[in-house]
Amino acid sequence: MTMRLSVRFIAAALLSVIAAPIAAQSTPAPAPTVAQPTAPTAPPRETVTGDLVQERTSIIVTGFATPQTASTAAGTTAVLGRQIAEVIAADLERSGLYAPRGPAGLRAVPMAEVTAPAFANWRGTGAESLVQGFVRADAAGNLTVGCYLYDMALGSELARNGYVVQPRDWRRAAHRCADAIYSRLSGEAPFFDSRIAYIAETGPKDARVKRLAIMDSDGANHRFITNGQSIALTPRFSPDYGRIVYVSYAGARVRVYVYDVGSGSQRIIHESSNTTFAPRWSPDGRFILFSMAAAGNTDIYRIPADGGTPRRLTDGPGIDVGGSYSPDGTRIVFESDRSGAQQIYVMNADGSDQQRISFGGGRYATPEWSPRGDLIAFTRIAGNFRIGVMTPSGGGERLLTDSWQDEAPTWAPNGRLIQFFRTSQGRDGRSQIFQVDLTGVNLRRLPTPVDGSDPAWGPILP
Amino acid sequence: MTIDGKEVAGLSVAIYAHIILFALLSFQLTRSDPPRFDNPPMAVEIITEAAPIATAPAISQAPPAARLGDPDSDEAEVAPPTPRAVVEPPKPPKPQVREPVRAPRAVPTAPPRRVTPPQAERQPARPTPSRPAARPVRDPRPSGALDGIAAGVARDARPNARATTPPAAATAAAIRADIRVSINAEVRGPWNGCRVTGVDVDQLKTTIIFRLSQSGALERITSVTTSGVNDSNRPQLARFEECARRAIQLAAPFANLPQENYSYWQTYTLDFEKR
Repeated sequence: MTMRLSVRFIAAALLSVIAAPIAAQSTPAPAPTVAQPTAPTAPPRETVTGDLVQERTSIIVTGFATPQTASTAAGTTAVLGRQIAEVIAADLERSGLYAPRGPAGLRAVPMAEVTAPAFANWRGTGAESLVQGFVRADAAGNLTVGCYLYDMALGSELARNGYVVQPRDWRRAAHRCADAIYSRLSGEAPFFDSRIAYIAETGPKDARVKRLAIMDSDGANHRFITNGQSIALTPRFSPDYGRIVYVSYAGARVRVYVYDVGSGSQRIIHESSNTTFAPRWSPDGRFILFSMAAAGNTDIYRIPADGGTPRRLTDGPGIDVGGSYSPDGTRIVFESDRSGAQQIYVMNADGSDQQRISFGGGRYATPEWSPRGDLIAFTRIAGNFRIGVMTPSGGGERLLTDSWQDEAPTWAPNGRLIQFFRTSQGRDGRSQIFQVDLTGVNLRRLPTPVDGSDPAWGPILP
Repeated sequence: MTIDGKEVAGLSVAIYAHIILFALLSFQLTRSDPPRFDNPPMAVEIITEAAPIATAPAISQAPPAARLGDPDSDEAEVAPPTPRAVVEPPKPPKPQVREPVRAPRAVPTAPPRRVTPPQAERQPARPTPSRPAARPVRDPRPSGALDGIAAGVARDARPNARATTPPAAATAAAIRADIRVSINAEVRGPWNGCRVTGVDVDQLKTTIIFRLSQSGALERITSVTTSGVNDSNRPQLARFEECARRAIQLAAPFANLPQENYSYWQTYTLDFEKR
C-alpha cells in the first residue's frame, strides 16, 4: 500500500516536473500572433477621375399609357398621354443637360409595363434613364398623371410622382413631371413649372410698341397683358405669382403699376414726373423697391406693395439704381456710379452698411441676386454688353456670354439658368430673349411670337 | 487513530517528492532563456497578410538557414507547378503559403488565417515565373523557406545577400509594395456614365470606403464623405455621391483582384472626382 502510494506520488511529482516545461513552452506561443498586426495595413486607395463632359445624358421618354381611353375637355387620355410625354421631352431637352428620345419613334408602353419596365427592351438604346407614366381620367373630370423615372443600369426606380390636374392644366402636370425628373438627376431645384413675364416689342426702333406679356417657361400659353398704348418696362412677378409690377411711361407721367393676374385689374402704387425704373419685389411680397431720379439725384426707394409713402434707402450723391433683394430679404444689391463708373454694391435691407463688391474695368449694371443666394448676376459693359455672375462678396466673377449686347439678367427659379435679352447690331436691331446655363453652356433663344426684352422669370408655380 | 510505519513512510516520501517538485519548478521558471523562443516571429506576419504565389519559388536560391525545418516540411510542394518542373505534376497544390508557416517552430499553433482553398483552386491557372522553378530544387529540408519568400518578394537576384539580413527581414510592408491592385478602370466607366454638372462641381471629391467579399463582390459601403462643398455646388452634392456609390455598385464584382491578397484589399477606398 505504502509502495503504491509512494509510486503514485512520485509519478505525480514527475508528471508535474515534465508538465512544467511544456506549460512554459506553450505560454510564449501566442507571441507570433501578437506580432501579426504590428504593421497596420493601409487599405488600397485610388482616385477615380471622371470627365466633366458637357455631353447630355440620354433619356428615353415613352408615351404615357392610359388604362382606359376617355375623352376629356383637353382631348382623349390616349392623345394626352402622348402630348404630356412630348412636353416632358421638350423640357428636358431645353434644360441643356439631357438628350431625350421619344415619344416619337418608340413603341407604345402598355399600362402594366409602366410600373414594371421592360429594361431589356430599352437597353439597346444606350440610354441611362427611362421615363414612363400614365394618364387617367376620373369621374369628376380630373386628370391623374403618374410619372416614373428609372435607372436603366441599375434597373431601379429613381422617382415616382402623381399629379391631379384639371384637363386644361395638363401641361402643368407635364412640367411638374419634367421638374421631378430634372431635380432627381441634376440635384437642382425645379424650374419648368414657372412663368416668364417680358416686354413684347413690335414696330420700328424709333417708334417701338412695348407691351407686357406673360408665358409659360417653355413659351406656351402666351398672353399679352397690356395693349401698347403706353410703354411698359421692367416687369417682375410677385413671389406668389398673383401680381406683376412694372413701370409704364405715358407721356410725361411715369407710373409704377401692380397688375393683378387673377382679376386682370391693375392699380398705380406710385406716380411721378420723375424718371422711375427697375421695380423689384421683396421676397415676402410686402415691399417693392424702385429707383427714382429726383432733384438731380437718383436713389433707391422702398414702398409697400399696396402703395404708400416711399422710403429712401440710399442718399449718396451718385446715381443709385436697381436694387435686388437677397432671397432671405436681409440684403440688397444695387449699382451706383459714386466711384465714377457704375459698379455693384450691397447694403442691408434698411440701406445701412453699403459696400462695393465689383472692382473690374468697365461698368457693371442690373445686378440680380440669385434665388439660391450664392451668386449675383449682372451686365458687364466693357466694349460690348455681357452677362456675368459673381459671389455676393464680389469674388469668382465669370462672364457667361459674349455678344454685341446682352443685358438685364433674370434668374430661373432654381438659380441654375439665367435669362436675358440680346440686341443685335444695327438700326433695325432686334431684341430677343435668350437663356444660358450657369456653367456657360446651353445658350439658346426662347421663342416668342414677337421680339422680346426685359424678361422676368417668376418663381416656381405654387 | 494511529499512524503506522507504512503511512509515515508514505507521507515522508510525499513530502520529499513535493520538495523536489518545488525545486524543479523553481529551477525551470528561473531559467534565463526559455528555449526556442528566440526565433523572430515576423514570419507569421507574411503568411497572414499576403503570400503571393509568385514570390514563393525563389526559396531554393537562399542558402540553408542555420536551423533545420520540420522533418515533414516538403519543399517540393512549395515550388509552384510549372510545365517544366521535374517534380511530380501538380496535384491540386497545397496552398504553398502554408509551408513557411510550419518552418519556424514557434508557430505550430498559429492558425493559417484566411489562406484557404479558393486560393488552391486558382493557383494552377496562374502563370508563374519559370526561372526559379526550372532550377533544380535543393534539399527541401532547410527552413531557408523564410528567406526564400523574402527573396522572392524583393526580387533580389543576389541570393547570398540574404544571409546578411535577419531571417524574414522583408516584412509585410515589402510584400504590400509588391501587390498591385487596381479597380480604377472598372469604376471609371460607370462613374463617367453618371453625369453631374454645375458650378464648382469640379471641386467636389467624394471618398467612399467599402468592403469586398473574397469573390470581389461589394459587401457593403461603410462610409461616404465629400469635401469641397460650397454654396454653388451643394445642390449637386447628393447626386455626386449617388453617382459615386452607383459606380461601385455597377462595377462590382471585381474579378481581377488577387484572391490570395484578400486581407489586403477587403477594405477599399476610392476617391471620386470629376475634372
